[in-house]
Amino acid sequence: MQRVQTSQLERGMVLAEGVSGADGQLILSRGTVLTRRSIELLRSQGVEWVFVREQFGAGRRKEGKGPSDAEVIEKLADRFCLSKGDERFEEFIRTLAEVAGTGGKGADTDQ
Amino acid sequence: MPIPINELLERVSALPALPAVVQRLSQALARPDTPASEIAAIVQKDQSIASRLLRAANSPYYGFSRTIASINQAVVLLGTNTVRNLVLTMSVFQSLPTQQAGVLHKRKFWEHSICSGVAARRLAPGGPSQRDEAFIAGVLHDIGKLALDLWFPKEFAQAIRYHKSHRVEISQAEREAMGCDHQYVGQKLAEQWAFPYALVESIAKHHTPHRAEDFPETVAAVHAADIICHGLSIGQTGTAFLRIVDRGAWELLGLDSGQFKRKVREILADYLRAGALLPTS
Repeated sequence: MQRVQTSQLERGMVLAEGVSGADGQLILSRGTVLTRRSIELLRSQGVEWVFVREQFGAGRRKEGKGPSDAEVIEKLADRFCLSKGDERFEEFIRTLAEVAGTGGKGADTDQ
Repeated sequence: MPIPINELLERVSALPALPAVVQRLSQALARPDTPASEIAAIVQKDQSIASRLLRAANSPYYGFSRTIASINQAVVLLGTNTVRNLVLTMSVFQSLPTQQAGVLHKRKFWEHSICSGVAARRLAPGGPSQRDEAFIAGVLHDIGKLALDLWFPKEFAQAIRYHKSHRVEISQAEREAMGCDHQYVGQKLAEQWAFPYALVESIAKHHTPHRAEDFPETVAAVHAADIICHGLSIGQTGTAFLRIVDRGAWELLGLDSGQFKRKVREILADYLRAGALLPTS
């Protein structure tokens, strides 16, 4: 997943995350293949950045596919490993994964 | 290798004061009924701050449909408290390095900071002024790390290595490797710059929200905001492993699972609109 400025979007890119408006309403859902119209819509809504799926690079598993939900959850479970055993752990991780997934973007592990 | 606390405190007290505009604004806002025009006149005197403020005011994050062309308009539309907080944020940006040095990637550091700001604003209970306060507290919560990275890069790098190899909380790793943590250093900076106390307390206790005494809600909002931004992988501050949101903070913020999901969605949407708030772009 990479963060791209709306002005740099191109047709055919795939949203890695859903995009919501200021009121929380979903404008475009995760997995949307961008068209000229949807790019215009994002710009008209004042969206400056979106997350798109990695199209090149090592993290790619299949053409146009981002990491699976299971991979995202695994990554988050590792990052929040200090809270393992907390009864709220699983739901917390699942919610984060569901809303925004973190795959491919690389956590703070590039030391 | 512990860092010499005396040297650290000397560095803090040798820091230049924040630009005069910050102090003048605080004085003007302490008087009731200060007209917007007077606030605007104070901001205008610092052209560098004024131009950044206009850029921020026109950011889609604030969502005004027309272009804000003057500082006067910005003050009227954003409100004096928001303006004061933005000016304070920008003054700190100016006073601390945004260029690469040490082990922290500065751009990613500020991305995490801005995201924590918009997140804390969404999470904070209370009215607009409390939300504004949470915003700036969120933006500035990790300034201690920036100072450590600048002044003691070797020791700070060692602390991060310890954090990653031992999988302990970042603050604990800092204390074991350096003898103090970024909450302590941040608190000293915040006191040196005479930040409002809600900010000082949020910076000092964002990893230990149960210790908050005076502004527990703001501290809780900043605590949760920081964690959510790490969970969303937005920005980087050297933290690789962390805990989920503290139970007490969770309850204080009135979160339940439905509410949490909604907030995280809103935070992501806000952040994607907030690029213009970054110190450089």
